[in-house]
Parts: sequence; structure tokens; C-alpha cells
Amino acid sequence: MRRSIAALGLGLAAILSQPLSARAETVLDFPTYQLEESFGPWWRALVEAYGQENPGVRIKLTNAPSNDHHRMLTTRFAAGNPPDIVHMTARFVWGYADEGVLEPLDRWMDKTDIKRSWVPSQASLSVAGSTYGLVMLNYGWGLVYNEPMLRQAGVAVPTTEPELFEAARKLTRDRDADGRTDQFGMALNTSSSSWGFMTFMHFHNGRDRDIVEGRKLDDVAEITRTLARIQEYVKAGVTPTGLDNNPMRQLFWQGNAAMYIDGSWAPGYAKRAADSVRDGWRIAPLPFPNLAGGPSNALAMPKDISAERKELVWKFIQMAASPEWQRRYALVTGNPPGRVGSVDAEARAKWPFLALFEASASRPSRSHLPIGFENEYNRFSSIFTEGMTAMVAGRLTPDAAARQIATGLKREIKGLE
Amino acid sequence: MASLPARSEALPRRRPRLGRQARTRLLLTALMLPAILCTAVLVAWPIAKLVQISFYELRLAELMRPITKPWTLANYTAATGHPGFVPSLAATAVFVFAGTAAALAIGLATALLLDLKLAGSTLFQALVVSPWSVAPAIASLIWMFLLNDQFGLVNYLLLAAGLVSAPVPFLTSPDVAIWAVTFATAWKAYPFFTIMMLAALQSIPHSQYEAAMMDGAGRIRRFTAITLPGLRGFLRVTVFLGLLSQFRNVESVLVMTGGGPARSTETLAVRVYTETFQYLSPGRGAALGVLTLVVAVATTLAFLWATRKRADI
Repeated sequence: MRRSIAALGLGLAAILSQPLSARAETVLDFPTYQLEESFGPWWRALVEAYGQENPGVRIKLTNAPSNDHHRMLTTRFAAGNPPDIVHMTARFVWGYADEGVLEPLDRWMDKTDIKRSWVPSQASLSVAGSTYGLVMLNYGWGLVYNEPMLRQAGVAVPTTEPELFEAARKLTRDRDADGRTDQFGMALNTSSSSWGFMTFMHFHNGRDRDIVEGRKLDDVAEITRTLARIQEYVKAGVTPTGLDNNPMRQLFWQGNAAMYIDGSWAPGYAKRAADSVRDGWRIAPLPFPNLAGGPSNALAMPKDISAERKELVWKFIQMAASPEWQRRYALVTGNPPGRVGSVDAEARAKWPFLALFEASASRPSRSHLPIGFENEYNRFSSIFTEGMTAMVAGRLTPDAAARQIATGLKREIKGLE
Repeated sequence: MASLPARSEALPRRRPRLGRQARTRLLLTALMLPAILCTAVLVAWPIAKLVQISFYELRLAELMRPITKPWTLANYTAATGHPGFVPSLAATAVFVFAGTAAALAIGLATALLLDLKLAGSTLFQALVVSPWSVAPAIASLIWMFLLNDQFGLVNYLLLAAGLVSAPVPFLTSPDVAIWAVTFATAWKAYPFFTIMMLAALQSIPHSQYEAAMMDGAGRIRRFTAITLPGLRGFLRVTVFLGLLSQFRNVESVLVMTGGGPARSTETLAVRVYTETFQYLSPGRGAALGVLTLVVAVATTLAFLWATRKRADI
């Protein structure tokens, strides 16, 4: 009987001790959409190092595809149950800040060198004078091309937009002479996703124009001019229509397109390339005098967590922003990090095109964002791509598409003139 | 004899016993209580909250807090006054009705084939039902790749067979995309119709067919006079569920086209998603959600009313 009681007591103690030790550990919830990408190893290493530096604090790192991730974030913010560490595509930062669910970071950030040492787009992550995020990556763009295809066609790497168009025309071929194009000179994203809007902005910023300036939408004539140029690529048959990012990349990396525009993460796709492309791909500076700049993704802190947790989250953000981890970011991911000057010789040797993206990301450029209306970015890009996809499908002329876009934007976005 | 009154006073008063029917009813109510509670918490409360949110201009951070703002119809005005509202109603009509009709047609055809119990019917049954086991998002991805105009199998086959001279822009043409997406969802949905129709077919007494054959009725006559009337009740329930399922289907469109091109596949459900999760306008999203709910309920009630009338005739 005594033995039974003792055994029962021991068992009970074992059960009770479990939640007690678990309760002593603080778990920070950190969902992201980048674990499956080339950024994954860096995030994992950072989280592990944070755990080692902060005994009793564990970061629960989870992954979801980008769309699901941002839908989950919105739902959790709405429910008052946000994750502790918020990682998001930068275009959501202003919207979430505007919705009152993010914590301003200035009281911590002002005690560091971040604002002085970061890429210029860091300054854009502020609403009404408060900073709501830390830029993890600034957009750096390049023209990814298939060098053997260009050589075979006797085409030089384009350095201006007219040269790009001419090169795309010469590189578009019917290789098996069946009457259909099977090698496209260019693969352009003209889909209804936000990346379709980015295509517009490559060309519009590329013409040295912002889409919004001083709360005024650019002239319809200027929007028409950019749309008409994109339409020329479509009409000339140098790009398939309605491509989204995945098919666009697939077309290039499987050897069916000679050129496409992509960000600093492009080299990460090379390992999945067809044999004919694996050794022949190169990246050149985008042949536009100005680039569609701006932040790609950011770390932030939710408003609805305890002060104690906020301190722990800031420690994590600060660690991610430290020179050492920024240096590792470049080395591990091959992307230029937010902290300027973090790319060292080792990273440049490992990633041959990193210097090009670094130059692109830190170069003063036009912004792909509607300045002053960043919180309406998604609505903005949606109205734009509605007009652009209708034009690409032949339903609207560039002029009609531009007028539809301007009317839609001014109707939907308060304060836009 | 004198002790009898004293004895009856000593006995406790017995409560009147419940009848068997009343006890059964009580038991059934008790058994249903968890389901009623679940429905109230998981369905009624969210709908009530949706309706409430639709009447206020709230920020995300305010959704779960006590509301102090005045109520407004602004969300409804903005939702219905948007030039995309009527086109999205039209897209919803095509998506829901054509999608359910296609799923019903394929489901009925495959059920009739399975009911013939031909050789290899077990394998055929497994094949027919297999789309049901695929997750909706995966099914949409499969169709997105199959219908791709550059490397899709469907275009490859059409070109190889000489049926078309250029790839068909299934998902990139505003005129074609809604039909392509609708067909893809019908492919995912038809096994449900197959199973329901097969169960209905097997419940029709074989003696009815034998009697009809003895009377000289042909295949078509037997189908219209025996099979279809026998299926009517099942059809009503199955189409009702199919319509509702199609109304709330959002992932297929989002995965395949994202509502484009040129908003041609933007159904009401997709608009609810876009307003809420992309534009972060929960009030307008809720207003669209309420309108979608009203349209869905009105459509299905109209269907039930119309089919009941026919059954009475």
C-alpha cells in the first residue's frame, strides 16, 4: 500500500513538474514565409543563436507560403492574438500600421545606429513620424539572361530599354519550325498579381517617373506611355501574356526564354535549372536609368503583446540587425542585407552577382510605392493590374486602360488627386 | 382498513411519470444539445459578428473590442456602388450555376456507368471518386499547370491533335478564364454527386425496371419514367449542397487566377477575401460577406421552393 502511494506521488510529481518547467520557458511565436527559400538557413541559425543567448526563451519558428502567411497575420491581428515576431512583405507594413496593430519601434531603434546605417528605404517604413519595421531586404534588380542564347543570336547584353526590346525581338524564335514560338526573348510578368504591377513600375520608374508625386497621380498620358510600351512587348510576341512569377521563372530556367527581370534572390533558382541553362545564366544591371526601389520585407512588433515580450522581441530584431548577422545574411542567402556595407569579400566570392544587386539596392532610385498612399498599396496594385491585364488581353487600348486605372484609383483612394 | 389512510400519508408523493414519447424527446434534445451549442458558437455567433462589423467602419485592431463608433451604411454603399460589384455577381452566377450543373452532369453520368456494374467497376469506382480525395488547393494547382498556355498538357494535346492552331489562353483571357476555373471546380466536386446519385440509383427497386420492360418500355423511357423520378429527392439535396459549396469556394479561384485577368473571375467570395485580407477593409469585406450570404440563401431557398413545387406536381 505504501509503495503504491509512493509510486502515485512520484507519478504526480513528474506530471506536475512538466508544466512548471514549461511555464518557466517563454516561447516567442515567429511565423515566416521564407523558411523554404534561400533565406531559410539564415533564419534558423539566427533563431538558434538567439535561444543560446537568451536561456529560458525559445522562438517557435514556423513556415507558411506567402499568401497564407499574410492571411494568417491579418486574422491573428483581427483576433487580438498576433505572433510575437512579425515578419512580412513590406507592402503590408503601412496597412497594418494604419490599422493600429503594430508597435512603433523608435524608442528602441533611436538608441542604435540602425537609422544611420540602413538602406535608404528604411526611412519609408514610417507612418506619421513613427517607424514600424526593420527592412530586411531592399529590392535590388537585375536582368537575368541566357548567355549562350544571346551569343548564338549575336545580341549584346542590353544597356538601355530600347536595346532590351530589340534584343527580345531577335531572341524570340521558333526553334522547331512548327509555326509556334518556343523561345521567348523576354518573360514579363503581366498577371493580375502584385508582381504584374511591379512590371509596370519597372518600366514606369525606368522612365524616371514616380506613380504618385505630392499626392497627385501621374498624368494619364504618362501612364498610357508606359502601358503602351509593355503592350509593344506583348504585341511583338516576345513574351507570353498573363505570366505570373512562377511560370515566368520556369520559362527562363527551363531554357524557353532568353531574359527576365528578377530580384537578388534569382541565383537561388539556378539549382533547379535545366542542364542547358545551369552553366549559361548570367545577370546584368537592369537596363533602365532608374530602378523600382523600395523595401522587400521587414521585421516588426505587434502592439497587443506584453511589455516584457516586446523587450524580448526587440532583442531579436536588434540581433538580426547586428553587423555580424547582417554579414552572415549576405553570405548565407546571397542577398544584400539592409545594413549598408555588410557584404564582404567572402560573400562576393561565393555569390558572383551579389555586388551587382548590392549596387542596385543601395543606388538612389525611384520608388515602386505610391508615395503617401503606401497603406493602400494592395488596392493600388489591384486596380492597376485590372487595367493592365485587360489591355494585355486585348480588351482595352493602353489609353483606355490608363483612363480606367486613373478613374478607379481616384474613386477608391481617398485624397489621391 | 383503518390503517390505510395513515399508510398513504407516509408514502412520498410520486411525480407523474413521463410518457415514453416525452422521454425519447427529452433524450433526443439532450443528445442534440452539443450540436446546437456548437452551431451557436461556430456558426451563429460569427454570422452575427459579421453582420455587426458590416455596419461599422472599424480598423483591424478594433474588431474584437467594444464598439464606440456610430453605425453606418457606408460599407454597403461602397460595396454595392463599386463598378466591380455587378460583374462579380455575374461571375458568381456562372461559377455557381455552371459549376454545379457540370458537376451534376458528370456525377450523374459516372453514377449511371457505375450502376451498370461492368467488369472492372471497382477500379473505375476508385478512379471516379479520386478527385474527391485531392485537397482543393492542390486540385487547383494541378489544373493551373494543366491549363497553362505555355507548358500545359491540355494545350499540348489540343495542338498535337490539330484542334487549335495556337495555345488557348485558358487562364489569361478574360473571356475564357471564368469557364476554365468553373470546370476545374466541377472536376473537384463531381465525385460527391456520383456517390449520392449511385446511392439513389441503388435504392430504386429493380422490380420497377422489370415491370417497365415487360410493358415494352425502352431505355430512355425507363430513364425518364423510373430513374429520374427515383433520383428527384436525392438530386434536390445534392444540388442544394453543391450550390452552397460552390458559393463559398474561394481557394480554387485564388490559386488559379487570383480573381483576374481583368477581374473576370472575381466572384463575390473572392471580393470578400480581397477586401478583407488584401485591402485590410474588414467593414467592406463584412458587408460583401453579408451580401454573399443573402444571395446564397436566397438562391438555395428559391431552388428548394421551385423543386418542391415540381415534386408536388
